[in-house]
Amino acid sequence: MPALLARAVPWLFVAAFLAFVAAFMLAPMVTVLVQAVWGDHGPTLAYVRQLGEYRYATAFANSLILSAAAAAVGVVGGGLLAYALLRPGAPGWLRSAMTSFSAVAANFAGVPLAFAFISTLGTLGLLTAQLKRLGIDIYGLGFSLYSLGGLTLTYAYFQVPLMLIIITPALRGLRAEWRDAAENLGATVWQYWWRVGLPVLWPSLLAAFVLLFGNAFSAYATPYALTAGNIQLVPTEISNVLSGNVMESPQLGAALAAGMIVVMTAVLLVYWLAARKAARWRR
Amino acid sequence: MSAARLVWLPPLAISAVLVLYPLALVLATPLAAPGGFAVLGSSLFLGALVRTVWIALCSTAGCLVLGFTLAVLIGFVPFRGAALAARLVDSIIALPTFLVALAFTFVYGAAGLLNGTLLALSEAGPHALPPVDFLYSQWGVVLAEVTVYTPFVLRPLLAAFAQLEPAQIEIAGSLGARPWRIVRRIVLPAALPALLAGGSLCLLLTVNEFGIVFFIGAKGVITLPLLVYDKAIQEFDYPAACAIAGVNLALSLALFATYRALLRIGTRGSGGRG
Repeated sequence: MPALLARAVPWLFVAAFLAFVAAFMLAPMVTVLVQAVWGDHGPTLAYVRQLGEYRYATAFANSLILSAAAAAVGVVGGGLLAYALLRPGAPGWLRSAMTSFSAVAANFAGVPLAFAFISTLGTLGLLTAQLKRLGIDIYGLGFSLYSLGGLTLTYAYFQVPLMLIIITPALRGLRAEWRDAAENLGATVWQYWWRVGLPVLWPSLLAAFVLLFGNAFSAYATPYALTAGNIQLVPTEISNVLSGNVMESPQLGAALAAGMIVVMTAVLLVYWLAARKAARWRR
Repeated sequence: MSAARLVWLPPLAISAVLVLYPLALVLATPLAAPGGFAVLGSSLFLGALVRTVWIALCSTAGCLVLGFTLAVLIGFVPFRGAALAARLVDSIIALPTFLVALAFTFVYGAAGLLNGTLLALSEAGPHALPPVDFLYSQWGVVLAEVTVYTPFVLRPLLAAFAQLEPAQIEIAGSLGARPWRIVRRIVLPAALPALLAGGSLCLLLTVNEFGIVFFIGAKGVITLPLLVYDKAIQEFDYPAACAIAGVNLALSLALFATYRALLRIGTRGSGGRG
């Protein structure tokens, strides 16, 4: 009997785990998807069709562009920064200070970040005024903090440190011997990166891009505080619909949320396919 | 200093201004305003501070327990659908945090699927079924945060378990060690660095979580990020918002410093580097 019990215990855990996943991960997502196509009188595509309206189509386009740009800036900026900090010559104190700072800055978002950027790069911001004194009128040159470009710059504030944190372990995994071996065989720096460094890092870089994309895609408080809803983004539109600023139904909110799930699923699928290909390629 | 090193200076200086100035501004704003720090003495703030730490600690503990259990199950108990379940948990990372909170309200909210069904059953049947309302409390927030942040513990744990020699466990098993003993003596020590890393990340994320708390909208569950939002957006009181944000930042930094110290102690025994 005890032997039977011992064998049953893991399966009880498995059952509990599956129940938890079903109740709190699967059910909520499925409900959102169902709500999006279920009206008061049964199934309907009215809410999904509403996503094609100019306002919501713009929101999706803006969110996609912003998230891709902010993820790209984060991957490139954070990746180069991490590489510079991990180089043998870099001072240890700087490395340690940057890691601690990144852990904090990666979470420095929302209202305080928006406020700080308005005070720095807004029309009356300190940096804007200083640059103007030097003869560079950034707003005259077409820059605006309250645009997709301005939002991308603001997002960089938490994306670059986040990238630094997540890519550092992968960069540490690049062995110095590989580089020495490549150099001994006469490879240039570029050849080393193209043939060895990047192929090894590729899956980590892809994963980082997906994470940063999702992070930017879901940012809500920062764009809301920065643009007061003047630039349509999916998260702020969902909030508008559900908080009653716009007279709409919860089903429209669900349809918008379902749209976000579809976008992220598509991004994940691309990532999985690419990661699988990379794994096969390395073998 | 060589010329090659001097090349780094201008970009470093510009990034320092762009990075440090906004941060300094947030810290300095309450200093410049008369009574800028007054809000830090209010019961509203103190309540939010305690609640933020409490919710973060509970959520992190939940993530660690759930993440560890899941990792052991997925890693060591082969069952059909394990890979699919792991992938599902993984994909939660990609979803916006507030979306998960939103989805929770659709299922477990006052007008959600579950309560709608219970109400319909009550009206049809002889017994009145009580509504389920755990969501609009700090426990609802904790549950949503555990759901969202468990993958951050699960991922490094699975990576750590992949490095573990299966032979080690088989030998222990054949020598008569019980599963619990194997977990305690072999699996747990191997998992410790990953648990520390995932746990500290969870703490940082939950202390700063805004979307989940905001979208669940539990009455009276006000955390520091929510208070910053209220002060700045609703009351236009920027000095107070900045003072609270400063405390939130200090809290994050303190948590991270504690984590680094723990990691140093934790890896000293195994001779690793922190």
